[in-house]
Amino acid sequence: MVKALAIFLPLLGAFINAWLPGKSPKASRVVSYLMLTAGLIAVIMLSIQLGAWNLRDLSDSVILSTGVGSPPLSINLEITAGGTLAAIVMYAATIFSLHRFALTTPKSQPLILALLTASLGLLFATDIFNSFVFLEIGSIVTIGLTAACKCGSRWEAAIKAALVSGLVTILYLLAVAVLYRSTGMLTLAALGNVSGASAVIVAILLLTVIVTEIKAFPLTGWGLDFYQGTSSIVAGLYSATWSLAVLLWAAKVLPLLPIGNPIIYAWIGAAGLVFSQLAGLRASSSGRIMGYSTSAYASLLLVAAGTTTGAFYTQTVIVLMIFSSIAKFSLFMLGNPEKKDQWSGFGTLLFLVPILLLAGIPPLPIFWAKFAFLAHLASGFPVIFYAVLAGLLLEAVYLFRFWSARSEKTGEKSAKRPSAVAAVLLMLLASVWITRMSWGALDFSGSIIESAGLRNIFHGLFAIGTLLCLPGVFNRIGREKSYWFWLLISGAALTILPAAGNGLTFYLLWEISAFAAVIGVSKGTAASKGTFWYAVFASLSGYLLLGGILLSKGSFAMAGVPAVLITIAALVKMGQFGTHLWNVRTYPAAPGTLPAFLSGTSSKAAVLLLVAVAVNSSSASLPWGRVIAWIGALTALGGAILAALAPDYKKMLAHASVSQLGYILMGLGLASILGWTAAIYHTIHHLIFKMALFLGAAGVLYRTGTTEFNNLGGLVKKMPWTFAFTLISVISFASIPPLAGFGSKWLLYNGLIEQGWLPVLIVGMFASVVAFLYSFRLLHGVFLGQLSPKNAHAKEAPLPLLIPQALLAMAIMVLGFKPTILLNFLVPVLEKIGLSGLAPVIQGDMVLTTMGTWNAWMVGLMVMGLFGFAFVFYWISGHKPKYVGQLDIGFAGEMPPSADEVHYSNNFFRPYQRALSFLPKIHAQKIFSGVNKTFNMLGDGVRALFTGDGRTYLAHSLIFLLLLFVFLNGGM
Amino acid sequence: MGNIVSIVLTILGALSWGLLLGGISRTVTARIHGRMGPRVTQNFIDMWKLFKKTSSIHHGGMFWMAPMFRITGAICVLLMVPLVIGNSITYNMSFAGDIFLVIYIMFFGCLGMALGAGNSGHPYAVIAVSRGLAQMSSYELSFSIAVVAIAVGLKTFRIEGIVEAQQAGILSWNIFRFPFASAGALIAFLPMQMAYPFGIVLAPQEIPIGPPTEYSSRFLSFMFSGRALFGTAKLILFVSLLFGGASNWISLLVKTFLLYMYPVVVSSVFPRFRTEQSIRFLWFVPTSLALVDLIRVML
Amino acid sequence: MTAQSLFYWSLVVTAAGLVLIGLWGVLTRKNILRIALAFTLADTGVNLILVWSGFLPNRSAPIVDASVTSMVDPLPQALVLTSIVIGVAVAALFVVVGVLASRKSGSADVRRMKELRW
Repeated sequence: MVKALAIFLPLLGAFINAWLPGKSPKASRVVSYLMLTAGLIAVIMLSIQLGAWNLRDLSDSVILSTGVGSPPLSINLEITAGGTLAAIVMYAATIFSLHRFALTTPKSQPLILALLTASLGLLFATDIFNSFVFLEIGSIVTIGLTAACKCGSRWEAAIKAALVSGLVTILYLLAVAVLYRSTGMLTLAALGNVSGASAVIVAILLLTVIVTEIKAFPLTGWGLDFYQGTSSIVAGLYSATWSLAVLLWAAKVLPLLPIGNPIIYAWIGAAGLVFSQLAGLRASSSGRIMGYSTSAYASLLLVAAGTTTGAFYTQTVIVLMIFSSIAKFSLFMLGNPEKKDQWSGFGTLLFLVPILLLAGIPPLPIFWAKFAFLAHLASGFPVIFYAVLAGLLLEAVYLFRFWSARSEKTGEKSAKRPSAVAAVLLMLLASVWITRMSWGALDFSGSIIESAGLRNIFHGLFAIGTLLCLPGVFNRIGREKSYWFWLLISGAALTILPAAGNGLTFYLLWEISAFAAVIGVSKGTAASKGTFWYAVFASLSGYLLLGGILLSKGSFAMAGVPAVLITIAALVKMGQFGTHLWNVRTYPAAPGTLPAFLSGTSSKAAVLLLVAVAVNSSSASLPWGRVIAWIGALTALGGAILAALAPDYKKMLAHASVSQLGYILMGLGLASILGWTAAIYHTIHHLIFKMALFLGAAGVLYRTGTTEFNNLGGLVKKMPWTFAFTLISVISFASIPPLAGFGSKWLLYNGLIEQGWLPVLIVGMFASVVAFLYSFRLLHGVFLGQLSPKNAHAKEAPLPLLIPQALLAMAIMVLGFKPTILLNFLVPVLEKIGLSGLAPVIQGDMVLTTMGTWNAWMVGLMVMGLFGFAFVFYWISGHKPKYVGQLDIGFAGEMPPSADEVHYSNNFFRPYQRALSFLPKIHAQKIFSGVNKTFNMLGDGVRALFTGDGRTYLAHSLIFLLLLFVFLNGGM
Repeated sequence: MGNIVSIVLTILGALSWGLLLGGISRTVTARIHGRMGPRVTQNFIDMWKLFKKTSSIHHGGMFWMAPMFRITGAICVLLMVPLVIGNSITYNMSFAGDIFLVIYIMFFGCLGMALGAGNSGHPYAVIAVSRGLAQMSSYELSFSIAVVAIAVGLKTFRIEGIVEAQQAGILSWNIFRFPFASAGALIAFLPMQMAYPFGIVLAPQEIPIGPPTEYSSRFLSFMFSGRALFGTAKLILFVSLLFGGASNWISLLVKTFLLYMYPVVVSSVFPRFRTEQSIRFLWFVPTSLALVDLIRVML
Repeated sequence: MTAQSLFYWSLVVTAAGLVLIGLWGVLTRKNILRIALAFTLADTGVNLILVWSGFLPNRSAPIVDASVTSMVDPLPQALVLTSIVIGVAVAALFVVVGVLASRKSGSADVRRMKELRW
C-alpha cells in the first residue's frame, strides 16, 4: 500500500489538477500539497523500512507489482533503498518549488506532478520498455514546463530538448527491438543475455542514449543550451527530479549493458570530464555553468560505472548524484545573477554552500564520496585518476569564479528563500550523517608526526595565532561583514591539524581551514577578486594534496610522485615562486585581522605539511631538498624586491610574507638539524612578527581607511604604540640583533655552510639585505615623514588590536634575548627524528656550532646597556629641545606649502627600480594570464563543438554512435 | 671589571681615533685639492662646539632617539671585534658573536639613522636614506660573499679565529690568500665609508648632507661621534678580516690609518656615480670578484 | 522466394529505409516543420522494426479466435501501440513548440535559433 502511494500519489494529484478547473488555483494547490506530503511520508516510511538511512547497504529493495503477471504486461517497479533516498529529494524539491511555480506559472501544476511521477517511475523501473515510457513522459513534461515558463529563450530551449528527445526515442526503440528480437525479454536484466552482433548494437544504441540523456561530454551541448534557456525554477526542479532520475537510471543500466569491458565508460567519462570542464571555464551565464557542472557529474557517473562495482558503486553514485542535484536545485532556486536577484549577507553564504558542495569541499557530503571514489581510482586507475583530478580542479575554478562574480553583486535587501535555506540546512545535516558511511575513519592520534614535541609546537602556534586575531575582529570598517566565525572555524581546524592521524583527517582539516578562510576573506569590502584567487589557489593546493595523499594510499610515508605533488601543494599554499599572486591579492582584500591570520598562522599549515612528509620519509628529508631550498632562496629574493617596490602597505606585507616563508623552505630543504632548527625557529618567529605587522596594518586601515603609502605617512604622532610594535617587528624581521630575527638567519647560515650550500646562502643573504629596503619603506611610508592632513583625525588603534601586538612584541623580545628557551626545547626534539648534521651546542646562553658562536643574552645586554646609557646621558644632560610642527623644516628658508608636497613617498626606491631595469620583466601575473589565455583557448576549442544549432547536437550523438560501433567492433 | 674598563677605553679611544682620522682626511683632501685645509684637530673642536650647543627643537621621538641608535650601533660593532690579537682584555664583547652577528649588527645604527631622518620630515633626508639603503643592499652582497668565502675557507666564523689564522707572516693575510674576495670587500668598503664614486648618500650638491639634514648642535654631535666610532669599528673589522689583524697597538693604528686613507684618496680623484649606476656597479663588479674566491672555496 | 520471406525482407528494408531517410532529414533540413516530418518518418520506421522484432514466419496475426493455431509474438504489437501513441504526443508537442519558436525568431529556420550559445 505504502509502496503504491509513494509512487502514484503524484500521478493522482496530476490528474486531479488537470481536471480541476483553472479557476480555483487555490484548490489545486491544496491538492498538490496534500498529495505530495502524503507521498513524501510514504517514501520516508519506505526508506526506513528498507534501512536506507543506514547508508551501508543501499541495494535492499521491494517489488511493487501493479497488475497480474510479469513485465511488460504489467508495470513492475523495484523500489531500492538508495532510490528511496533520491525519491525523498525529488519530493522535497517539488514541494519546495511548488510555491514559486504557483507564483509564476500557476497552471503548470499538473506538469510538475507529472514530472515527479515520471522521475519516480524511471528511478524504480525494472523494464526497458517501461523506462522508455517514463523517459518519454519526462521529456514531454520538461519541454512543456519550459515552454510554459516565463523567460525569453524558452522556445529555443524547448526545441532543442525536443530535437534530442526525438533522436533518443528513435535510438532507444531500435535498441528495444533488437533486444527483444534477440532475447525475447524486456527486463533490464535481459541485457545481460544478448550476445553477438545484437549485443554490440544494443550496447552502442543504449550507451549513446544514456550519454545523451545524462548530458555527459561530448553529448552535452543540448543540456547546456537547455539549462541556459529555461527559467531558473524549471531548471532547479528539473535538476532535482528528472535529471537525478535519469542519472540514477543510467547508473542502474550501465553495468548491465553488454559492452564487454566497462572500463570504456571510465575512459569516456574521464576524457569528457577534462574536456567539458575546459569548456566550462569559458561559461559565464549561471545556467550554463550549472550545465557544465551537470556534465561533470555525469562524467563522474561514467567513470564510477567503469571502475567500481557492487555496494561501493551504489553508495558513491547515490551520494554524488543526490547531493549534486540538491546543490544545483538550491543554486537555481536562489536565482540567476542576470535577473537582478540581489543578495547580500546571509544570501551570499546560502549561495556559497551549494558551490562548496559541488566543488567537494569538506565536510560537505560530496567530499566523502569524492574522497572514497578518488582513493579507489588512485589505487587502480592512475591515468583516469589524474584526469578526474584535473577535471575537478577546473570545475572548482569556474564554480568559484561564478561565486565571486555573484558575491560582488551585493545589494541592500537580503531575501531568503525558504527552499534554498532548507536545502542548505539539509546539506549541513547530511554532512554529519554521511560520515556514517564506512569511507574512511577520522583519526586524531597524531600518528602522522610521531614526535609529540613537534606536534605541540604546531598546536601551540596555530592556537595562539588564532586567539590573537580574535580580539580585533569586531573593529570592522564600513561594510565589512562579520568574519570572526570563519576565522574561528579555520583556526580551530588548524589547531587540530597536527593531531591528524591519517591522510583523510589531514586533508579534511586542511580543506576546512582553507575554505573557512576563503569565506572569511569574502566578507571584506570589494573582496571578490581576492576571494576568487584565494579559492582557486586553495583548490589547487587542495587537489595536489589530495592527489598525493591518495596516490600514497592515505599514508604520509611517501616518495616519488605523491611526495612531489604534496610538496607542490605546500609551495602553493605558501605562495612560493610565482604563486605569490594569491597572497598579494588576498591579503589586501581580506577584512580586519584576517590577513594576520592568513599570513601569520594559516601559511604555517604548509610548513606542517612539509614537516609531515619529511619526518615520514626514510632519511627525514624532503624529495629534492636542494630544489626546495633554491625555490625558497629565489622566492625570498624576488619577494623582497617586489615588497620594496610595492605601493601599498598590505601588498608589501604580502610580498614580504612570501619572501620570509622562503627562509623556512631553505631550512627545511637542508634536512639537517641546524636547518630544521632554523626552519622551525623561523616558523615561530614569522608567525609572531607577521601577525604583529598585519595587526598593526589592520589598526592603520581601521583608523585611516587606506593602506596606500601615498595616502599615509607621519602616523607616528597619532599612533605611537602601533608604531612601536611595528618597529620592534621590523627590527626583528630585518634580522638586526638583539631581536629574534637574527637567530633564524644565524642558524640558517650555519646550516647552509655546514652542508656547503654556499650559492643558496648567498642568495639568502642578499635577500635579507634587500629586506632592509622594504623594512624602512614600511616604517617611513606609514609612520614617518609628514602626516597628511587627510589623516589628521586618526587616533591610536583600538585596544583589541594593540594588546595582541604588545604580546607579540614581548614575545619577539623574549625570543631575541633568550632564544635558548626555545632552542633547549627544540633541539632535543629534532635530534630524535633522524636528521643529518650536528646539533648546535647550547651552553647556558651560548649557542655554538662547529664554526660559529652566538650569545644572544650578552648581545642583548650590550645593546640595551649602551642604548640605556646613551638615553640616560641624554636625559640628565639637561637637553630639552622643544617639539615643533612637522612643517618646521629647513626648506630653503621657506615654510613648505603643505605636508603632502614634502612627503617623499611615491615610487620610493625609484633608482633601485631603474637599476633593476636590465632584468627582463617577468611578471608572474603575465605568466598566469598566459596560462589563463591558454586554458581559455582550449576551452574555446572545445566549446566550438557546441554550435548552438540543435541539429549539431543530433549529429554529435550519431557520430558518437558510429565511433562506438567502430571502436567496439575493432575491439571484438 | 677589567672588561668594563677596557670597553670604556675602547670607546673613547676609537672616538678619538676616528675624529683624528677625520681631521687628517680633511687635511689630505685639501692638500690634494691644493688648499691648506683645517687643522687635524678640527673635528675635535667641531664636535665640542656642537656638543656645547643645546638644540632648541626636535621633530619627534624617533628624531630624538636616532642619535642614540646610531651611537649604540657603532659601539656594538666596535665591541664585537677584538682589537689586539693575543691581548684578551681587548677582545671586549667579541665572544658573544661571530662575523654574521657583526654584519647584521652594523645595520642597527643605520636603521636608527634612517628612522631619525624619516621622523625629521625632511624630504632630502628621506631621499638620502632611500639611496643609502638601496646602495647598502648592493654592497652588502659583495661584502657578504667575501666574508663567507673567507670564513668558509678558514673554517671559522669567529673573528678571533679569522685573525689567528693570519698570524703566519704577511702572506697568510687574507688579502693574499683570498685576493678576489678581498678585492670585492675593498670595493664594498668605499660605499661603506661613503667615499666617491659612491658618495650618493651625502651628495652635497643634491641633498645637502643627507640623512642628518635636520639635525643640529648636540644631536648632530652625537651623530658625528657615531659616525667616527662606526668608521673606526669598520676599519678594525676590515683590518681583522683582510690584513692580518693587529698583534700590537702600533700595528693597529698604522693599519687602520693606512686603510682609512684608501677611501680618502680614491674619493678625492673620482667623480660621483648616479644612484642606479652605483648600484649596478656594486652588483656586478665587486660581486663577480668575490664570487671567484667563493667558487674556489667551494671546490 | 516465398511470399513470407518477401514480406519479411520488404519489412526490414522499408523500416531501415524510413529510419535512415528520417535521420538524414533531421540532420539536413533547416525548416523546423520538415524536421518534425523527418522525425515522424523515422518514428514510423522504428515502429516497423518493433513489429519486426516479434515477427515469426508462417504465423498469423495475434488475434485470438478458434482458427488460430500459431501466431506471431503479440507483445511487440502491444508495444508499438504505446510507441505510436507516444510518438503522436511528441510530434504534436514538437510541432507546437516549433511553430511558436519560429514565430519568435521570425523564421522556421533552425539555424536562426542559436541565441543560446556559449
